[in-house]
Amino acid sequence: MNVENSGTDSLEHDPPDGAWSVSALNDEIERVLTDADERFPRHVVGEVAEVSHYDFGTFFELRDLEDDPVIGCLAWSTFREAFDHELEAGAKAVVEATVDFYPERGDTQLLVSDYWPLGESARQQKLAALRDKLEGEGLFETARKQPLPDYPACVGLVTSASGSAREDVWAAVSERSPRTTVKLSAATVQGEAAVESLVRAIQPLDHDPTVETILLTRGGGSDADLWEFNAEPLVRCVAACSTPVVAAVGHEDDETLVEDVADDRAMTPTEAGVLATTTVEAVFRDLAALERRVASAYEALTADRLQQVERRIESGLETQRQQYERRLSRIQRASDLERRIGTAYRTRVDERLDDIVTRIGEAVTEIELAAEAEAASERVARGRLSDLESRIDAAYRSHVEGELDRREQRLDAALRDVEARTRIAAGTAEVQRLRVVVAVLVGLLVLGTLAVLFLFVL
Amino acid sequence: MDHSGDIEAKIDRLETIAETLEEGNVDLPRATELREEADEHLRALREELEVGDGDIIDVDAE
Repeated sequence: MNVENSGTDSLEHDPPDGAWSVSALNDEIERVLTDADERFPRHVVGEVAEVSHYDFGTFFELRDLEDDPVIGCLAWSTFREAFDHELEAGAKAVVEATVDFYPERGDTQLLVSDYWPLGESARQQKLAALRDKLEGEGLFETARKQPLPDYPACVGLVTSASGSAREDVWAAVSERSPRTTVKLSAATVQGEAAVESLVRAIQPLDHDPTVETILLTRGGGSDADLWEFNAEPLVRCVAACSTPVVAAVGHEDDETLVEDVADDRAMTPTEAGVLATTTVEAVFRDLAALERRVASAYEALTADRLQQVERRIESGLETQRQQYERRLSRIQRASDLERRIGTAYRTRVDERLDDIVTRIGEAVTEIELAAEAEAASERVARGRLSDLESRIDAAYRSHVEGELDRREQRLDAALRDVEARTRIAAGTAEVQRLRVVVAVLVGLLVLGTLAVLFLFVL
Repeated sequence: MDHSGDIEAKIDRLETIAETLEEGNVDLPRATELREEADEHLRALREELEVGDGDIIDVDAE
């Protein structure tokens, strides 16, 4: 049998005798398995893993409790909905199933008709214990998480040298932040050597002062493939990093302790690159917004200050204008007052002068009248005096003469009476005494007459 | 090349300058100083960020 060139020259050579086609082989396997159905158990125990739910049913793996072998399982939705318990990854369980062979792909799987969880597997129990221990040490606390720098000049990448994660991270980082350099520290990401390799890859990046963020990535895989990312040394190495670490291990549903202890978690290597950087366009937008704010605030501030100065100038001018108007008003008022005072003074002086002139005139007239009246009175008085003098003289003469006559008559009568009486009663001495009295009376009359005349003369 | 911290510090300073100017409690000479400082930070940041010299380096090969 010549099979050396069967890979590339198969069309030029006949197949060896007895060679089966794949289809024939798979049909034979299916027939043998069907015939041997009685040899397989109805119940299988193992650890549930890789659970994927679909509308038509649920795919999962059943892993050997002591070793690595696994077998795929399918629970059609009609059976799955009748399960008393939810299928949970990591659970130790018993399934009721038949062995099924899928000839189109040559896959053997279990068609599961029932399911009973028996509790967590030993590996899951160890994982839970480690999780509790690390949690007790506070390694999962949010307060420990370091913020990722927004604008790193350099990020470190720990991943497989052969996987697509390297290109995915670089594509995301270079597109978003062209200035950022990626330092790749390749590591084995699966199997027994993975833990030591990953730790050896992480530590130099953590000690590199230029590296601002470390991205720890691994593509999707089974729980067993990702199991090393639950290893305590690796988890503690990540927790001890002074550089922020972003972990992107497996798919969204996969959970590892490394992701729990990392400062941030991404679903894929691309997302890790996104988380570690800020798009330069976004930074430029932020800068433009800041520039607008600064310019706008500066313009507003300068405009405000200019307005303040303008207001002060206007206020000063208004004050000056008001002072000028007040001064002008005072001057005007003073002028008006001066004019009014002048007018009033002149009026008053004129009035006073007129009044004085009038009064003087009146006084002169009055004096003249008085003088005239006085003169008239004098004339009248003189007339009257003269008249009175005449009248007094006449009256006096008349009176004196009358009085003298009457006195004389009375004296004569008295004399005759005295003479009569003397002659009759007393004698001659009495007549003598009466004569003396008469002489005295005559003297007094003369004196009185002289006094009246003297008064008139005065 | 500036580290992220240097860039963040400059952006934070720009934010502070913008807030200070927006509050309006500075005199005109100080405002002008801040405006000039902001322009200098903006120029330096754009110069820094526009550089597209990032690369991927295998540290094992260094």
